[in-house]
Amino acid sequence: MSTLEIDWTRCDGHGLCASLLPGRIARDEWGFPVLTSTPVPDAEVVDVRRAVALCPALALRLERR
Amino acid sequence: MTLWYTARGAGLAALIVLTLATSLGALTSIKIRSAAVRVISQYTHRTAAGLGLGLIALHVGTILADQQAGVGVSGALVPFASSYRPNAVALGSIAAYLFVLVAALGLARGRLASSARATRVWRYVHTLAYGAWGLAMLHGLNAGTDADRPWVRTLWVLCLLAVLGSVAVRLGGQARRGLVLGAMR
Amino acid sequence: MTATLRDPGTSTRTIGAPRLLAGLDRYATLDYAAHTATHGLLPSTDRPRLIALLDAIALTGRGGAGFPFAAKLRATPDGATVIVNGSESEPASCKDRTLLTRAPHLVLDGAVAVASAVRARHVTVAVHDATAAAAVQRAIAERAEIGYVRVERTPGGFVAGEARALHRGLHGGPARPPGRRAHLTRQGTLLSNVETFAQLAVALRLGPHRFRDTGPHAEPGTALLTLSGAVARPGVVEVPIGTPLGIVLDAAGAVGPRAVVLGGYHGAWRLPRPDLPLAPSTGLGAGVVAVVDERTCALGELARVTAWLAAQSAGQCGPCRFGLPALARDVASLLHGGDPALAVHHARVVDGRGACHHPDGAARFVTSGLGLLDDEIQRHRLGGCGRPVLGQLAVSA
Repeated sequence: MSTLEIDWTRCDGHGLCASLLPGRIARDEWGFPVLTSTPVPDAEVVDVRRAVALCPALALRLERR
Repeated sequence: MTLWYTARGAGLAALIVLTLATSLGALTSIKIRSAAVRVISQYTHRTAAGLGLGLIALHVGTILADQQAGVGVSGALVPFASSYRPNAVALGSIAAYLFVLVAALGLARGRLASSARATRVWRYVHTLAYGAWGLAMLHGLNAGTDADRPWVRTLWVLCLLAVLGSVAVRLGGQARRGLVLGAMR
Repeated sequence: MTATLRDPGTSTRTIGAPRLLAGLDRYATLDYAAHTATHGLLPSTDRPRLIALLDAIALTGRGGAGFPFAAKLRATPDGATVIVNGSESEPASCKDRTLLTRAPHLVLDGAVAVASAVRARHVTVAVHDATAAAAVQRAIAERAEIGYVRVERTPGGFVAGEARALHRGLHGGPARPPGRRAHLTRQGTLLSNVETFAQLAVALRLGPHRFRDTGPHAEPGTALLTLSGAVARPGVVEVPIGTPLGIVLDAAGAVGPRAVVLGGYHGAWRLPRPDLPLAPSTGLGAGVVAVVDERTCALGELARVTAWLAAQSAGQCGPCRFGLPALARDVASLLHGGDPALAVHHARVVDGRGACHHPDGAARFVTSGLGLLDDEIQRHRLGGCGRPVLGQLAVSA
């Protein structure tokens, strides 16, 4: 099982992640991500990895537990 | 003769495509609402970079294959070792190496997100792309045999404006955010 | 007249037998001779015996987080750095600088015992207060064999006192929490609060059985409180863990308290129930007992501290940088009859979304305050409470 973590000091509220993973990431009123769930089942890893790679600030990471 | 034309064409095409890649890279920071536009922009950036590397390979390959070019394998691979315009060719070699390094790290981007130090390193190394682009521009100016043609000159200036403009937009966005931060304190 | 918290010249009192504050009724400061006369010599120990002792007395960190110290020591590698966190950036707390100024040797004993147990490469006492720093330097100078202990001045600032921020600041980086939540022990550092080390020094001398003589079974020992706000006798008080709030308020001279902020400004507003036991398990946190009474506008006090908490944000993380000022505005709006639902919403939005626990703590402070001050909120909706904001809850400059 992997988990999706945010490095808040890098996050700049670009919001790409929320657009790419609408079921998993919402945005607050200032544009910053709200994680609706952090565990990532293996089936969704590919999609989450794409969001991790596309984040302009490299603020997301996928941690293997 | 075809080799020679191909070499020159590939060189110019590489410069244009890599200018596109560099400009798009600078513009990733601006906050466009539509995620689709941003994702397309990022993918175009990567495709252009890949295409640029391919065109560099074609450019170098055809020059080496051309007996009359006078550069030679060591001349191409080792900076300043070329018998034909050593300094100008060296700029191109170094630029190519930097582009390869930048692209390689760029490919590994997602994996690097896991380590805090790696993300910092990634940013510094990837920023070398601007330097690589600059060297490539100078290489084109000094080593390129078509540099004195008006339409080539125009293209060169357009490339210059494209990247300078993109960097200005990026820095402007950062300055505006800095102002917002300052106002909030 | 509302007495306010003053600097480390503050009074120290004890309820029950003193341990940390032993000897301070007679001496202003315990120099090494007075310290040994009062406490006795420090017994030697080693890593396994120290861990066994810590397990037996269930010592938890006294900086607010209450992490079991035995577990922290177990996770510390050999050759680590030991840091005594005396930055004490909590405005309503002065127990740490009082301890460092008046009983520095007790703190040093604890630090040195831990340091030798882990064969530490460096031992640092991080202090913000100048008087306390000087006192620790003098104490180190009295003991040639612990000359390797360094004293470092910290810049101050609420978030800069957080463990990882402090660690970073001491190593030449910015005094801000890093983006990753990695335990310091994994970076070869054991960091804990001033009082934790002092409690350890006491336990080494008393042994586990005598240490467990006071306090409840699950949380034996004493704790240092900082009494402030609407009390006639503010200052540092040592109490057995589990002492009821009523006894402490009486000793401090609180008359007609409205509410108590327990733990610190990341703690919670509590009703001044006399039977409320003061213990780490009931929210004692960093030992702050800040009393608010009916003479001040409690809602205004809440608003003032919330604004201060917002200003303390390091500004690195969006939800905190934007969310806390929004929260502060919502709480301030309550003074003019605003809707508490806004503040409740923003408190929920910032909770858990940041590199450190500053937004979480601020959310807890506000939410607990809103829950308790319903009367005041209603009064302000109908026009006001007619009371000034006296500043009973201290905020630093």
